[in-house]
Amino acid sequence: MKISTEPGRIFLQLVSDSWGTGNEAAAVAEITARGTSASKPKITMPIVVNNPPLAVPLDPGDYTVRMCLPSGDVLAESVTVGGEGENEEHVGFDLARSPHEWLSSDTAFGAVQRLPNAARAKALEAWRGIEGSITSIEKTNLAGRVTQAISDYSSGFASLERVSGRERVSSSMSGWCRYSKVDPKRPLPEGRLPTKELVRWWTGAPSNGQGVPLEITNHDDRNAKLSVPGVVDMGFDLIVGRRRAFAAVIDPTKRWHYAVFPAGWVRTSRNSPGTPAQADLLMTVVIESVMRASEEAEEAARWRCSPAVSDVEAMTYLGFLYSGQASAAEAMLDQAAEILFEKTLNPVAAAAGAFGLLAFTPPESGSRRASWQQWIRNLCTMFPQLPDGAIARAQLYLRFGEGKPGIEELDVEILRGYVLDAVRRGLPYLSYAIRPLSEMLLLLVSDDQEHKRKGPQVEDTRRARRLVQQLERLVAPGAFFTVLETGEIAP
Amino acid sequence: MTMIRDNQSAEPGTHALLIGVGDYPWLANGSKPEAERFSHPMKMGQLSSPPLSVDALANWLTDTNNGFNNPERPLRSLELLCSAATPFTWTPPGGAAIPIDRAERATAAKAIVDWKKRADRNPENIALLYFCGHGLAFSASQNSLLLGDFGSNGADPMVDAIAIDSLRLGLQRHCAARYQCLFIDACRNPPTTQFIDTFGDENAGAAVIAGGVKRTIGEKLAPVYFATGLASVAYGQPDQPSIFMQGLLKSFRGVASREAADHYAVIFEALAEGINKCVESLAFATVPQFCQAYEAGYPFALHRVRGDPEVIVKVLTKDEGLLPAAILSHTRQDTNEHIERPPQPAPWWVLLRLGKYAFKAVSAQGAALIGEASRDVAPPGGQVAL
Repeated sequence: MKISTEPGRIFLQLVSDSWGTGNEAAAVAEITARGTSASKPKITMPIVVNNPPLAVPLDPGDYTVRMCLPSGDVLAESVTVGGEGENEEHVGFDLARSPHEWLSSDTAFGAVQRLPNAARAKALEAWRGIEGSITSIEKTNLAGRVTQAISDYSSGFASLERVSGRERVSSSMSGWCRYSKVDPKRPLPEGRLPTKELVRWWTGAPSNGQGVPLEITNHDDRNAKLSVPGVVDMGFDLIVGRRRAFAAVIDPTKRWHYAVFPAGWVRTSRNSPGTPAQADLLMTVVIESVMRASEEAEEAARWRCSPAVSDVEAMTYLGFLYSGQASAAEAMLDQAAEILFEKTLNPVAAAAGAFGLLAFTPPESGSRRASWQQWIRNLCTMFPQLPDGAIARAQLYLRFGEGKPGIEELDVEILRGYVLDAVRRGLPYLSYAIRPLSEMLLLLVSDDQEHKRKGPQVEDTRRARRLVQQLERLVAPGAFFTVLETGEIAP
Repeated sequence: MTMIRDNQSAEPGTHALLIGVGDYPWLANGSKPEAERFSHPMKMGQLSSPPLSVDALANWLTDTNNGFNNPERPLRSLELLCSAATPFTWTPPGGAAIPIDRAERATAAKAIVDWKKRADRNPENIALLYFCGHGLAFSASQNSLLLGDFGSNGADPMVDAIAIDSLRLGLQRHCAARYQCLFIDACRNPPTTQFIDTFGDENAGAAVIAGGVKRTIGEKLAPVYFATGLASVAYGQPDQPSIFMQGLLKSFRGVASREAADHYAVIFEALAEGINKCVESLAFATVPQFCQAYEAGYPFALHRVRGDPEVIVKVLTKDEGLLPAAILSHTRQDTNEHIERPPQPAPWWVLLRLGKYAFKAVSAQGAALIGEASRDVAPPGGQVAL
């Protein structure tokens, strides 16, 4: 980011030497007044990578400029506007370099880890001799830290070597795209389902057998991109839940991933609303537990599956939603609100917007609430097969009731109805939706126990709770679109 | 005795309960004879970090000069529970050592209920809970905190655990305090298949305070900060507070702060990112232990930073190949204080006070300039690539 100042305005720019985003925003700048002016409202605005500097008019004063990145990182710099004729230029922060140019966007969204290497592990040993030159803040037990860091790097790198390899990727990674329909009237099963049956219950039985083979469009020794060759023809049906697309992938360590494949996605950005965006899968090696006990036997490294769409603004927003960056998510939402909620171009994106509004709106705020609450209700009823819309609807009811004036107590049967409807709609597109669904079921089950309720609906709630618990154990952490990891069991 | 302070005030304040479990007699290398120990310890043994972490946070909360500072909600009550290999005592500033009860099922349940009652005294209160010890994650929303007597009941081990997600919902339902802040410094590894086959997977522990459906749930701000992501370990170094605690305390010095009217305040929304930056700097890792927060997206102030905040800056060379032979330095522009780091292969993480700095990288051989930059640093900090 380069910041130059002139009296009365600043210029913002986010730069990357490996990635430009055309006219789509991939970050959010936040400008906050400092000192006596700190009570002024902060300014937030979406930022495009490698665009010309953006001029922002400001009153003279001291400000902090923060650049919020969808990976969860926040970069900050102070700047003075118009102080005694100052007209200086500050060089701020760049986007972190991607390990590979073809993965630049995925790195920015946080889907690719920057992994350790053996040279770093060995080189760290040099730290042992320099304890005296480190500032007191960092001095505490430096030798212990370094020893552990070397051990972590070494075990992580050894594990990486074991699970990756260019040849291994091209010869032993395969995937298929399967289409299915979820029957919302299917019964909620009793007891614990075997993994394969559980996946079928949530995703529906594939209608195209083994499925359409996925093509590896690019790869190296630790990353691969897979997509469906040719054009997917089911369009809107695939993003409203009438039909579902899933990718089944087996990685080089023979472990299976069953992922929501966001085919049929359309962009919701202001500049290109309604245009189709390609879906693909990124398979990448990650280290789940970098700091490990020496006796741990399991591999530190493993393959992770991350579905993605070539829609920079949607992926950026999802990054903010998952990393909990409220003001950045809100800035993106403000830009897209009309398209998200009124044009119904992309109900899954609208559901993501709903989750942001529900998560980041303070309980006491009332002014903006009325309109988006109705949007969420509409999303649920207009798309009766979309699980995410129903989950947002249930969450809305839990937080705000039906929006009636005055103090409104909740009707547990209404909440139950929304939650069971959501479960019956099948696997949520967004993994973000699963935790609130699980929490609402936990609340209902606790409430039933407290009030000693009985009956078929109570029994269904208990079964739904069990289904969601089982599901949660398969859900891959960190992916925006839901991915189930079924281990050695082919889904 | 576990109550360190309770001024009985019903004015808005902060009520803290800190629970540390380092001694697990029924787990690996525990004090019980081997034949009596739990048959499914899942590689869990004794921990040295929890008592040190509880000690560090209690010191910070009670340090009126350099620690917790919230004029709107000062510390009203503090209770500690801690199991350690030798009986744990905590010494307040200028006071005598106080013996602290062990953190076991009965003591923890009572302490949680008592803490909730104290937090009930005013709806504007902050209820703050910290747990450090072993944990299990049955799923993303089914996390268990293992108490000191975990494993003593070989037939039903989860009775000696807290189902933290259920407790959190119960607190939202029943506790009057509008601000409920949970720090969970424990592993989130899944139980083994053998454990689930033997004991089932429905019981994640006792809720202690069970929750049901109530409209007021939505009126609470209840962020929870897990020390690590799902299916991951939280890390402690021998004889040091946990990595999470070190990162948390460091972030309280300003990395997790934002601008307020005439000061900087550590806010819920900035805390996870601040902790992550601090943890990354401690671990020398590009893939650090990752603090995962839920429902933390609010600018609510937990702590007021005294004076200018400290921010964390990662200094390196743009060409990583030059780093092992580069001398890095920063100079504070108003004082000309100059600090140098000799050539090293890892990036240089520095904690700097708010202000303008000149950063420079020169080659150790021949002192050729590799790069220089000027930065006016602000929380949380950033990266300077030279």
